[in-house]
Amino acid sequence: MRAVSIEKVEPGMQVGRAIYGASGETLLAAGVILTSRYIDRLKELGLVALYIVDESVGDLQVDDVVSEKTRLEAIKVTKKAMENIRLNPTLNLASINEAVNDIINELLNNRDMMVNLVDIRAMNDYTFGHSVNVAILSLITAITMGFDKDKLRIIGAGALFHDVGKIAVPENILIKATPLTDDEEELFKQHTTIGFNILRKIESFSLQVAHVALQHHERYDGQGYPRQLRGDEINEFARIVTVSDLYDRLSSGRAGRARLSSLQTVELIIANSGKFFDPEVVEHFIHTIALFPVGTLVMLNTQEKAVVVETIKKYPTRPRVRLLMNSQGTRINPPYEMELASNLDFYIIRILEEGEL
Amino acid sequence: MSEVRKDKLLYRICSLLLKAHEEPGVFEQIAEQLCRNLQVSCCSIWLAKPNGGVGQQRLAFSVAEDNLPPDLPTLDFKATLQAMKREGALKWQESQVDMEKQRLLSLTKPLSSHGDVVGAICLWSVDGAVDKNVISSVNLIAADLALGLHNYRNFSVLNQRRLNKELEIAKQIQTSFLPKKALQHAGNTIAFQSMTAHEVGGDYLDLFRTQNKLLGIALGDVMGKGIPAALWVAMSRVTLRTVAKSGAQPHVVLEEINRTLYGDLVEQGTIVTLLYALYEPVKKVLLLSNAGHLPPLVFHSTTGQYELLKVKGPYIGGIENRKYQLVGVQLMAGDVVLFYSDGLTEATNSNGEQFGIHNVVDIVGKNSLFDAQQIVDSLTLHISQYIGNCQQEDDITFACLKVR
Repeated sequence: MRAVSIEKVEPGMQVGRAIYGASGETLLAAGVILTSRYIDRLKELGLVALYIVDESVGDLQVDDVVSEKTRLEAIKVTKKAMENIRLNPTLNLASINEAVNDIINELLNNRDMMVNLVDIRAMNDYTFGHSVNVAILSLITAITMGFDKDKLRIIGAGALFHDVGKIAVPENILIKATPLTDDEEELFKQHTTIGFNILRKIESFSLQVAHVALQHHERYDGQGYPRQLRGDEINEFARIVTVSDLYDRLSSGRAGRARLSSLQTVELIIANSGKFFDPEVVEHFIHTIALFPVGTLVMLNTQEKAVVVETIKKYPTRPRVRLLMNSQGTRINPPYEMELASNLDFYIIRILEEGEL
Repeated sequence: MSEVRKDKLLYRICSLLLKAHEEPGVFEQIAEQLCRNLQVSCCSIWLAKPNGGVGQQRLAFSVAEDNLPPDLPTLDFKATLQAMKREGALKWQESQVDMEKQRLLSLTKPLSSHGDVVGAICLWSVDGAVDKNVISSVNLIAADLALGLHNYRNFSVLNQRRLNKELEIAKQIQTSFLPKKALQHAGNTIAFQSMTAHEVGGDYLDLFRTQNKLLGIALGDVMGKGIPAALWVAMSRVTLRTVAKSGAQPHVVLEEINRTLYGDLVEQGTIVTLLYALYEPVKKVLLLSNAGHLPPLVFHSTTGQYELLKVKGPYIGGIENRKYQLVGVQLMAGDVVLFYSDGLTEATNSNGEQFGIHNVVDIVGKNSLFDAQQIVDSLTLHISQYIGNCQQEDDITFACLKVR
């Protein structure tokens, strides 16, 4: 299956990965054949892209870093907790801790895995799906940085609730597509301090969890908010969440905004290393993301067209590819596969657009 | 298989080959014939360097039975690729594949014509019982099949680009001049790219280790194109390797090269730009002299700043007995140094706009936390996408050093 942007999705295509709503309910199951009505509805929901099954490239094994079950459970408990958290600061957080532990355990069992799937979401699911994905990305990074389990639990909870302060920000500001006015921006920025004040009252959370919410918009160069902390003054967990927060926002895309490719997003993050982000975190983060995710259509220097079938952590620009079309535009049937990491005379010269195969 | 049947098979294949220049399906038919007559499970025919380019093209893949391993096409590609790289005695080889008690044997033969590998043929057998006659049959048809592939590649109307034989040889020699590509290991953080615009190029790149264990990096550009430029590339390479082998300082090397080549260059009315650098990996010091080539780019990944290492110096063939300047730069862990030819910065897109050093800096910066090979691959991807469907007008050559 491959990610296809919603404008290129056509009736008759088959859904490759289920789409879930805000509470984890299935909006569209995997395997469903799309009709024009479904596609219109998906556009209304603000979905920017979709995973579809593409038989022309053959079988593709795309594994998520955590199981769908664990991800959905985490979305559900996060939603429930966020809805109750302000009213009930003594809230029992057993289910949250369990969700975080499940994610950590799955990630620890899959250490070599790279992020090959972009978590594509509908607009109304944005906050919770985003929170869970930021937690997953932050945890992968923290694991590669060698954090112990206690620290992993803090960063997991901190990432899940980094945006909890947004419950106090007016909805129209959160979803506004045009630039915010100065007043609106002030209101928006307050979600960091509001979040801090909510979380620090929760006894079963470490104070550091609250600090993640407070500091996730600080910049490494001291130009962030609310306190203009710089470098190591910023909480070490917040420095990780800042990177995964931005990665997720850019790569998942939101209505009205184009979705950036993994490669574009990673390049943007490196370009801002030392400015927005802690270089050490960036160094670890970029190696967990597949630059050419499984399913990417590429052209090689031999003018052959291929699809990425497996990504290799050590050699991010040299995945395993399946050759689909020769230089004269004839289908290669049956296709064969090549490891670009061991065939250095071959390299990718273009990422192909939908319909170029 | 009797001699008569072998001859019949050869006759059939030869008649098919006669039609190869106008009928692309011929090779599929040949593979099918081989499968049937030699009683093998699968047969593939490959063409080396199609369209005068790189890589190989599979012309035919014929299977005679159903229960073959699903990754057979991939195993077939690997076996053929290896066969085309080195010739060996023809014998059945067992493939390492996880199949329940099923043996998988392959017989691969590179096909040479006019002293050049033009392709390969690969036969597969799953049951392990192979007819002794298969090897002699393959040997019998190999020469004709090779000639067929040679003709198909060079004279077929189906191949758009025909290569002059001499030009092809020149291209091969020049390609062999390039350092062998190798993926990074700790302490080995240099990678390069060379994309020639024509059959033979006027860019010159060499990477080598000197006798005192320093890394020598040479990049040059000969004025002019085609065979004459290629000859000067070869001359420059030999001269530089000879002079630089001992680990001589870059300015001494350039002075010696200028002394050696000056007379001939002036006579031919051409010039060579040449940059030579020596890198000492323990102290992370880069020594550099430059004979009119573009200045290398140094990107400091910790600060995001960059600089161009400008050192003045006349072209090789410019001024007789001229002294060259030497500069030394202290590099730091994380720094990226890019050596490049003007083909990189002057590559043009469909609007006629040049790529420019600012784009190079931008892409190096955006990938500066990766290893040298990844930076080179990313730069290659971006420059290729920038050029798009336009004709690449000049050679694009660059080498990247990542300091660890």
